[in-house]
Amino acid sequence: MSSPDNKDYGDLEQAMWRRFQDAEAMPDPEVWSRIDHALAMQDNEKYKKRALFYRQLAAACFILFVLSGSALVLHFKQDQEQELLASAEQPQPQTKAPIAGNATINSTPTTEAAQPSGNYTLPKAEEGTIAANAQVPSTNYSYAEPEEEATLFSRNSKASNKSVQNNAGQNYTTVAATTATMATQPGVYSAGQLAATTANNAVPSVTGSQVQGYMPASQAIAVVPDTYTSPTVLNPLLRRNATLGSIAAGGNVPESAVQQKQDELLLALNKPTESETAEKATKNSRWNVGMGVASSYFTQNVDIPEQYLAASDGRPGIMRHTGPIVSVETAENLVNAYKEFEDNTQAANAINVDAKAGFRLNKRFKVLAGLGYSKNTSKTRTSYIVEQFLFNPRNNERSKLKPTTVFLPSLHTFTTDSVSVIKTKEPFNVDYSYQMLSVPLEVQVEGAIGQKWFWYAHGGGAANVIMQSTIKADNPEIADVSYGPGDDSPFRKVQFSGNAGLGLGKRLTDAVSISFGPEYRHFFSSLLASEYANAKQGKPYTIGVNMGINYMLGQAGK
Amino acid sequence: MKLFTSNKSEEEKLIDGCIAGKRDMQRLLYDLYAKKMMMVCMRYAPTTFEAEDIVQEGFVKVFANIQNFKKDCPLEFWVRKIIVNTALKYLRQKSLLTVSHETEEVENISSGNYNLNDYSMDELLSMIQSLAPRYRMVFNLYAIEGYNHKEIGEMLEISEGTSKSQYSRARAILQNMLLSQDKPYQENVITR
Repeated sequence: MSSPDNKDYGDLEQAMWRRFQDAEAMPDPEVWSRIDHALAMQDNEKYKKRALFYRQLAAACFILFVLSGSALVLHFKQDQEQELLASAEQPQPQTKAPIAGNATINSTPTTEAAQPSGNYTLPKAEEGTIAANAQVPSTNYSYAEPEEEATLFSRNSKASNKSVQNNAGQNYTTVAATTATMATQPGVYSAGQLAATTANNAVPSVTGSQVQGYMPASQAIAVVPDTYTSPTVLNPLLRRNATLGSIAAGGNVPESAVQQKQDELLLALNKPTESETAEKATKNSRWNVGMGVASSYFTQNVDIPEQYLAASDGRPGIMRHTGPIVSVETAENLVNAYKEFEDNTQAANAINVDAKAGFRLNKRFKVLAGLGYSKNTSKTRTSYIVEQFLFNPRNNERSKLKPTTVFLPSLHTFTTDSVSVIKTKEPFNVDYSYQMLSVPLEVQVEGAIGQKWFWYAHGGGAANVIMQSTIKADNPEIADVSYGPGDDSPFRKVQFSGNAGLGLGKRLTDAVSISFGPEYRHFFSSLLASEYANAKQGKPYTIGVNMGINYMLGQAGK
Repeated sequence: MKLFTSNKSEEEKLIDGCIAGKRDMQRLLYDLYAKKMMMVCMRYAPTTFEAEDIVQEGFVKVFANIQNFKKDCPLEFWVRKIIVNTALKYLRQKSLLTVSHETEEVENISSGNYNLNDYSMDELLSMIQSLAPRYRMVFNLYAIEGYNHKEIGEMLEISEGTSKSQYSRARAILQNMLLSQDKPYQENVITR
């Protein structure tokens, strides 16, 4: 806005400008009251928004924490279970008994069951199951020796195992009531008492008689007086307008003019302003979910320690070495196999699928967290097979281990008696595959390019749990090797990686958008576990292209 | 009233108070500019009620965005700019700036002289308010606010040429109104 004095104005313009430049008119005193009210509403809205933001942020953190925790628990629980299985001396078959109609509980003996005088474990049962069988009489318990009166139930610290113990030839099958009631009451219960307790505990939860006293929402809405909800009462502008109308009716202003004024105001009120629309969009689109598929190249960057085995040809006078017996040919082949591994190991394709939930921090930034699955592969072309032999002095026999490639036995010192490295006629492929579950946490920044298109860049980290690693050789003599998450694998079980990517996206609708762009993932540690990483190890990485689809929650139908 | 316009540090205090959301400082700023802004709004809005609505909406925007005030111009200019933009948006929302309103025919301009000082502010204001909305906007923006036709074209989403032609029509209509009032001839008059 430039000063009109500097323009080539006519006299009319200059005169008008002089008259109106400093002219003043007194607004209605109520205008400030309305401004004050609007500002108070804004402050309140800001406060609510901030509170909502922190609540949602806390929820996002909690979800992330639960996801990470679940992944770790799943990972380590399997190890624990294997230990428990190993410690069990004689596994016994499980029996199933129908309980009170439709409930079924596994009867698994445990070490705690070896208690005298017929003590029984009270397994934890589903509340719903108990409720469904609340009126089950004690006859629903099947007794092997029904005349025995001293049926004792003992508190069992492992009630969560949901096991009913069989003891001393008795085949009792029972269901505990709510664990909170039964398991925390140390003492002795007869079967009849148990049934009574079960019924007493279960009935209130079934009938829900204590839930009385609450009015249904529909009734509560129905009893609100109309005077509280009429548009004239709720809307200050309409209220003011109504007042104006009544004043006008008593004055000289025609009624039709007042009606027109009201219609115009109603029209203006019903039309949302741009800021309202934008605010609504921001509110609704704070959460989003998305899926992405990335096709990449994976470089495992694994190096194996080169072990130089001294050949012993059995000539007298030569001091016997401590390693396995190898021939001169084997020693040479081993060196060539190492060189071949180094030269011929190549990056191969990897695929990564992930599902993420996003939480928008502000217009540009959002936090993403979720769960991903990736399968990374690498391959080597080799022409050497390693055979290892063990000598058993008891039966004076030599046993042959399964032939392998040079990769696995080289990760640790050869412990066999003799090693033979044979060169095949034709080279063959060895494929390495690593399947991982990932829990990514990323920050994404976005910006608009035109109306439909946008750019994005994201970066963050991920915890990657290796679920399965497989080594497959395209040679019939060599058996495939596969390691599960609980196996003693030479590969690191949990790895952390840094992820970064950028690209373009297009909004297909208000709720759905697609994205496309390069992505890079770098692992912070070697693929091999520390105890196997004797050679200098590189860090694996993937580089590829990511395609994603994104859905904004709360935007459907807009 | 003149306290804040003459003393920059006081004005800065006022702005800082408004940024902090202090209601007394907001009231002070409102009192400082409300009368002038009301007159601005009355030039744009067809009725006083609507002018008050624009004042209300404009000041709420002023307080919501005052942290963006760069202090590279007087605060009054910045407030006035927001009020004018609010008025344009308000009228656009009410579809008062559509072409259908621009059917006002320009009669032949009668010859004669007039002196604006002979007219009261209410008379001048009612003349401006009686213009068709689009003519009123262009006239206000060009003659009183000081925008050029290119800026007006961008603001009203019309071409520069359209702005010029609409302004010349508005000016002609206004001149006819002034001449038809039969005010006595005086010196220092404007001759067409």
